[in-house]
Amino acid sequence: MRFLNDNRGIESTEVALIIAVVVLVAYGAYRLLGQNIAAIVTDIAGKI
Amino acid sequence: MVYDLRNHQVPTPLTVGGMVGAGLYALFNGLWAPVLLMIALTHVSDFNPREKRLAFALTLSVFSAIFQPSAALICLLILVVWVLWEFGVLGGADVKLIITAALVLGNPIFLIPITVVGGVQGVIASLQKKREIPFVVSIFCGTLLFVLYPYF
Repeated sequence: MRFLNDNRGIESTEVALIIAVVVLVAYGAYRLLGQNIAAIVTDIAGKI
Repeated sequence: MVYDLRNHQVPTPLTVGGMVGAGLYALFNGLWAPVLLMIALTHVSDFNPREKRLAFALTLSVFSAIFQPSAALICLLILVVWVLWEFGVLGGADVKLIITAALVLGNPIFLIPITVVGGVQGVIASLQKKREIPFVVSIFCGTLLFVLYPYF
């Protein structure tokens, strides 16, 4: 059981920073554009 | 967290025990697809070569999401952290703890505070010219923030 026996609790500094930036940008974009995207998707679904 | 800060490792019984407990709790709450996916990915991790592991993981995740759509986001989260472990980005203890938290909380949004705390930890580590951070600290603090946030 390779997965269960792996007890490392580390992450590289660069990856932590990159993941934090990506998640924050994605969350910000969702907050800003979420309703517009939902409206567009609903519009397309209605036309189909 | 103390183990991770001391030697960047968390004893396997702690993480596996937590994951089993979280699995039982999730089953009790009706989240059966993510639990089955977690068990399946544990076995898939022993497959060879890597392409076979990734193909099986993706297929099983898609089926889990199809069979229980309400848990699709948790299934996606489990797949993503497992793939990050597969490529050596995250440690095994980190992934097991994230899966445990996901199964207990049932809401993948808790990843946002974890990644933010991880980013802060990354900035501090960069200033100290360290290459690696004990990510269990981020998981603990982020999850705590997520749980306590509604009370403020």
